[in-house]
Amino acid sequence: MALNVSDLSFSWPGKPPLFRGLSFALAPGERLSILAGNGMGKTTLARGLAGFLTTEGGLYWQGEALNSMSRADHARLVQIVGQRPHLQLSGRGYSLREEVAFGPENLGLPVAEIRARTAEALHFLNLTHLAERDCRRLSGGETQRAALAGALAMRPRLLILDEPMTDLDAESRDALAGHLRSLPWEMAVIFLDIGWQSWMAGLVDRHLLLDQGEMHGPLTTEALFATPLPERIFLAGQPA
Amino acid sequence: MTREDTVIAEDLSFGYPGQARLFERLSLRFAPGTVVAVLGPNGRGKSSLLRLFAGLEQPLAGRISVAGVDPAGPEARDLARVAGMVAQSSDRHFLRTKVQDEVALTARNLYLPDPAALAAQALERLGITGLAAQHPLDLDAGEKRLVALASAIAHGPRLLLLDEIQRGLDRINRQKVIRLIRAEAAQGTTILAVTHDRDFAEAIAGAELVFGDDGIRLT
Repeated sequence: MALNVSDLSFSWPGKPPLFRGLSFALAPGERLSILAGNGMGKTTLARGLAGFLTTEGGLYWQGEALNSMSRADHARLVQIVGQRPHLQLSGRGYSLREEVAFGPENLGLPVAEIRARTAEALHFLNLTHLAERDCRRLSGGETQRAALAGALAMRPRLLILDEPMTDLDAESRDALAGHLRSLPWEMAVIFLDIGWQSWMAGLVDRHLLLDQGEMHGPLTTEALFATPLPERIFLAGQPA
Repeated sequence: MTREDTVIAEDLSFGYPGQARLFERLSLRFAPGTVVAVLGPNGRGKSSLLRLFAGLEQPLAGRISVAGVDPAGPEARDLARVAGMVAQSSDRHFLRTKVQDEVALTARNLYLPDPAALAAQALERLGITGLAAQHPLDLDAGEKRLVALASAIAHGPRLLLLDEIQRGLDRINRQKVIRLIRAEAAQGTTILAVTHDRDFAEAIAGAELVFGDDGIRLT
């Protein structure tokens, strides 16, 4: 297994545990969803799984604890894109292309490699035509795509996406889903969302449910549709 | 006056400096109680159109009327009276330390009678009365969105502008929003909702404004 999560628990000071005793494993290149309603700790869990929170329990990548890694190794291993993509842009680049190159540049890669990764990530997100655009002049959906491109340019081995597709138009969403299925490197993905979304078809095979601090599953997509779900969890395409 | 279309745009042109125009000579009229889903790819000007109606951008040419008020006019207060908006990052706009004060804020700034009662009513309509005494930034993402929506409707606007209001809402919260939009429309509020969610658009809207490859089309 690539990622091992064992007995992970977290609570904000003075509050009851948001989640407790979460355990699951992720194979290299596997794509998994974690579905939870609002207020169930989805975003906090995303940060916890990325190793950005002090949680109880273990979080290991191929046997190595995430919290014992150097920052550089951590950044090479895991990238996260959250619900506030404008906060994820460095603001350091004059253009979208420079913004996307920011991560690879900081890895100290050869220039040709930085250029290739940047071009590739822009292509994955349908952003090539906007490469010279000032990032402050991107629309909401384009900003979300820019943040995703910045993460993919790092070629992480684990990508954590917290409601990644919400502002993407259908064309960009389908393009990204397609590229995630056939990346030139091996990357596991954890998608956190409020429910099953139609773009998950053929992309995500296993689903975990997080409700009232407890994890249920993993379930296959067929089982997900056949199982009585917590009231808040949503299956796209079903009547509102 | 009440029978007049709430939203009128005539020959509207808009674009950002140094970029191609997003739209030219766009004319629209929406009657009271119309719910319009605004659809189309990223970057075509959906949010910009809402911002024009909210007076946050100035048209390059053309004229807008929101319940008789020109959003580009000098008095922001006149527009605040007739329009309410929930922007894409609505929780970045919270200004008060208690939900009840946040929701009452517009009514208070407009010197409407009994802002606290208007706020209580808006919270009640969304089923979030229990959040009244909390700090808006202590809430979860779904609750924050409902508070932003309550803040946009408490003063009784004639036009409600919603930018991806359904984004990230779970099933229960989504149903609350759909019910509220339907109830607002039944009271005569005109609603423009930008969304990428087809199911949501179908659940709320009687009309669709599509920003497509071949221009902007109302269906």
